[in-house]
Amino acid sequence: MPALNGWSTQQLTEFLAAIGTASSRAAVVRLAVERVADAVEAEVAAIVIGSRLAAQVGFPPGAVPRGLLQRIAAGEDPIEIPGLGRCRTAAGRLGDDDEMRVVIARAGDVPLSGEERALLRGMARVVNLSLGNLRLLKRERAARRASQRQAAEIGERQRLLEALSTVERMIADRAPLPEILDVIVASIAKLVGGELVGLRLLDPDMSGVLRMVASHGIPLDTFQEVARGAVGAGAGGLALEEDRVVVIEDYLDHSSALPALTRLGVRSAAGAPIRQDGKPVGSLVVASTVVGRRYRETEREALVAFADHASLAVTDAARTRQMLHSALHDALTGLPNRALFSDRLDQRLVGGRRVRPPTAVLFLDIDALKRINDSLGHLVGDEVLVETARRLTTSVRTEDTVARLAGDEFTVLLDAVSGESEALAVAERLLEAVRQPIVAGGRQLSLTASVGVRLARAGVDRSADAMRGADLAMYEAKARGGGAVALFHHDLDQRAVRRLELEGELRAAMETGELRVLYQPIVALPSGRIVGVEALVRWDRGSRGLVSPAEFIPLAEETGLIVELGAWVLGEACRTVVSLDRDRGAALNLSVNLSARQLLEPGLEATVAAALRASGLHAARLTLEITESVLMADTAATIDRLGSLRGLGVRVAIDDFGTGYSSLGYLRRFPLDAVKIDRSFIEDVTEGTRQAALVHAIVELCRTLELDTVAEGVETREQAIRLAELGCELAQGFYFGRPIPARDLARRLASWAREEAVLLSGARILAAGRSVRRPATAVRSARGPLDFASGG
Amino acid sequence: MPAIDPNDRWMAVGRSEDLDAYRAGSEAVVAALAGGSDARLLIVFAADRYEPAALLAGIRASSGATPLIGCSTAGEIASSGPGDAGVVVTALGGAGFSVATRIATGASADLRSAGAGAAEALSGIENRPHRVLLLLADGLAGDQQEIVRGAYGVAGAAVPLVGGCAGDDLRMVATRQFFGADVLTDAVVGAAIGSDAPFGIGVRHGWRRVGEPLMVSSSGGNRVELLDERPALDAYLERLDAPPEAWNQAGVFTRFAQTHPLGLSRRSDEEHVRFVAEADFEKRALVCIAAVPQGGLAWIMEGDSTSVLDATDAACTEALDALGGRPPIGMLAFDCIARKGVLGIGVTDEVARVAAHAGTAPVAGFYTYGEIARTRGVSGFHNQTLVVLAIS
Repeated sequence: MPALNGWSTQQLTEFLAAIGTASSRAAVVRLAVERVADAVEAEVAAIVIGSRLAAQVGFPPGAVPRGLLQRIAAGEDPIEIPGLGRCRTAAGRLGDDDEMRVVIARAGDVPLSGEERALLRGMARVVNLSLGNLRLLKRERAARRASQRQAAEIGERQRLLEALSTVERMIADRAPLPEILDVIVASIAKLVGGELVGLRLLDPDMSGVLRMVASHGIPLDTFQEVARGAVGAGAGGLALEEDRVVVIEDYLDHSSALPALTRLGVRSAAGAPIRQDGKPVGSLVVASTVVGRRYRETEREALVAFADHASLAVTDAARTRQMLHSALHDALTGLPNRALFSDRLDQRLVGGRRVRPPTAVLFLDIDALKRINDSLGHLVGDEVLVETARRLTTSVRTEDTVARLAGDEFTVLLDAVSGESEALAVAERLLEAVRQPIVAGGRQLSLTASVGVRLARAGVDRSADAMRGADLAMYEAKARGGGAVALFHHDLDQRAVRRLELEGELRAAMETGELRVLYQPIVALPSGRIVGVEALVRWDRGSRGLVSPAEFIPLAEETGLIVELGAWVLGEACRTVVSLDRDRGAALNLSVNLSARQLLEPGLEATVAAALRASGLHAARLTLEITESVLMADTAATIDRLGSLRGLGVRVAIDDFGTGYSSLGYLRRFPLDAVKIDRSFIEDVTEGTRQAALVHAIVELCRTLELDTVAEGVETREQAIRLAELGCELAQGFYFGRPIPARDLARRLASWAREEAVLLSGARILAAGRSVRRPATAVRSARGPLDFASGG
Repeated sequence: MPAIDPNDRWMAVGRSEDLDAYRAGSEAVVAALAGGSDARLLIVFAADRYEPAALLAGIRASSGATPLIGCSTAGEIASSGPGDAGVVVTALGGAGFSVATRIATGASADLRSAGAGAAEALSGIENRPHRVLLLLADGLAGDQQEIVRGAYGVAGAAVPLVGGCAGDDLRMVATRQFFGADVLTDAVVGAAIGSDAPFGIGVRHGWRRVGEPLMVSSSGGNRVELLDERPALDAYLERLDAPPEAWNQAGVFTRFAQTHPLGLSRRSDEEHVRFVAEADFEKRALVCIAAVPQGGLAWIMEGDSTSVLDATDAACTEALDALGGRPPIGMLAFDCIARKGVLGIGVTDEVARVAAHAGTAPVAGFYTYGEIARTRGVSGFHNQTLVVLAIS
């Protein structure tokens, strides 16, 4: 290759400088062909790549003789070119690629010199280098652009994730819903760059209306127009209606466009549905006034992600609200429950500078709801509760609170009352409301309730005290027989305190052995022979003395301790009687009282059976006594229960007969074995003929019904003789013996055996010679085993 | 080749130096149109002093819709001699010519596209055996070589390019281009002329190198910052031993520089001459009429009336020789204003020499801010040069 001299070196330098300014492949090849032609004063220059033409100069665009250029590339020289005539040509390879060539054609006969050819080759190499550099540059730029784009996407993604995680954290922290939605709207405004962002939810109070709950960038006057919108209107309305992402890119011409937004110049909008528990309840919308604004895929994804998070927040808030409501409301009646009631009372009683009128707490307990549940079933009981709740609610002002605490207990908070008289008047009104007949379970029912009232003052009384006071007053009303209103007074409180103390002590007493079972003899008339005992429980606190059964038995009834206590007494008594039998060599009958509460206890039969089994006592020697008031409940359940007890083989006696309604019908309807005539009949049995006639009538009736009769509270020899004359078969009372401990009973039994003939000697026995149906088989007690007050 | 009937083509030139633009135009065109019927193209070279719209109105009042191109000048040329205050109108007519004209505006924003746009005139003429593209460009629009390259890209090697850059009597403020009834600046107007008979083009400058070449150390576009690693202005003035006033007075420098262009090295010895238009005294740089590539070699050139007039003869001879023995029906001359500066009063001799070469055929032309003549290779922009187009 000829060396380049000064001229061609300079040409090459100029060429290099010129090509260096080109920034694209197209510019390089165009500049190259021009400068190559210029350098060798050729009319035609071209760069061919195989059959392809990269650039040319010398021919008008549309009239390029490609075949001719190929021939030059192939080395043809000279060549005839139309319009130019005979031309001399040269071709130079671009680098190593044989396909790529720079070709030139110069008019005339002067062939290209060696130096010109060398220059051409040099230029070709420069072109090749430049193209190579450009390729590298292009690749680098593309890589840089891609990495920049990737970095931008990652950054965008990162920011999106950060914003979403903020929202998630807020949801987890149970931040207030409006705050969460504000953050969502602000975040999407930043990330999607929507000039206008709105988040709307269905209005719970207006069907089909969307209400703006969070927004960004909406001018005030526009906001007032779009604050409420119909489902199906605008991108958001459509997104909700169709439950899908809606993108509107020709907003001005769109049929669903909101006029307020078109006036604002909105050109495009995108909306995504917000769902609560999967059901569309709102939408998140971004809108732009920028002409030609399009929402990229990533932006749409961000919109959906934020809408989904709004869905999460809305669903969670609803669930929380619901949970809160259930936590604070009674499921059956929908009334506030104890927690909410207490909270409201707490709020009301918070002290303040302002002196407020007192508030009143009313405790209302439906009398005998249990009977309804037992006899008509719980569904009917529930109906009664719901109706009662409704009546109570409609009987007070809206600012007052009616709550259901549990079972048949309702409470009412009268927000402000002038004084006790107003509170009592409201209580009477509530009673009256309850008294109105209720139709439930297809029956008309008449109910009564007991109401306790306590007034409380803000800053003075504690809510717990107010509640307790009303509760105590309610028990007071109940104690008066129900259907009454009682106002709290401090004696109730003291009594209650005493009761509480007793309750604790009673529980302890059962464990420490302070409770003991005493036994009162039951004798056969007229012989006076001890045929049985009635078991009675006594609470002996040693140095602190005895506790009256009149005090602790009702308490045990109220607290339910009676069940445990009753079972203990039964077991203890059965064991004692069997052991006495062994010592005495004769069978003694046993009477044990059952309280009303025990009678309702589902495990009663099992308890009785267990006591019999454990002691070995024959069932027929055990009599369970129930009071007349239990029978007054007159329910099928009671009849069933008594029947099943008798099924065990034990006997059933009615206690205190004559204290209640003394319905003779009971004697016929209930499955009974004996009747115990109340002491009130016995006291005067020796005085006049009237009482004696009554006792005689009862005895005669029982005889007809094949029931044993037991006289209670026999205190004198005269009474005993008179009762024997009237035909009464059995008796108990101080005359025959007070209740005594088991260890004393064995001794007493022996002495009774000696004394019985003496005690009754000389008695006129009216019923002498009359046969006793079941002589001395029934054992009677004067009152229930737990009733010391009236005990024998 | 079909028989050529000289009667099918004619060229006539009208001239007026009337002070009134309308009357001058009217007078000159009437004279030109007197040359024959069926005028196909009017070429107008007018002194910068004329109100151009009135001038064109005066012309078009007689020529009607006959295609018209033209420009303002730094002096006009006609058979009667050089002038610098009048208007010269050339008419080409007859069925032997096919003519189409185009204009491209906003040239300085994209010189190459402007050249290409004007060259589109070629697509408007009938297919004739001989074609030429006549270009008149705004000499102040930038690198004129780009205009020529743009035109070459469209015209291709088979069509010679010829023409010149409009002037404004060396005020160097704004030049005007005429197209139909329109007067524009920063435009390129083109007329494609197809003919049954040949055209001939002659190009000569008549300058010679002074001393050793200088390296263009730094340049950008038309500006030359450094020559031989020194401030270009200093290197230039020192090499020429310029008068002291030229070192700091713009007017003196421009006049001095008119006769001392830069020559750019070419394959043959015919350098491309670059007219140095002005000096940047502050940055010590030279501003030329066309681009001076960085990294190249440049010679400082000089000439005298003898060399310039010798070049005139050579150019005319070259153009006429290309006619293949046919007599010309007219000649167009595009003569660099710088040559006029060198010749001084001798410029009259130059025009007379051209007229003598033309014989009875009319001569028209103007003093330019740059000449266009591409007959060989791909480059066709010249400075300090006489370009002659002989039409047969």
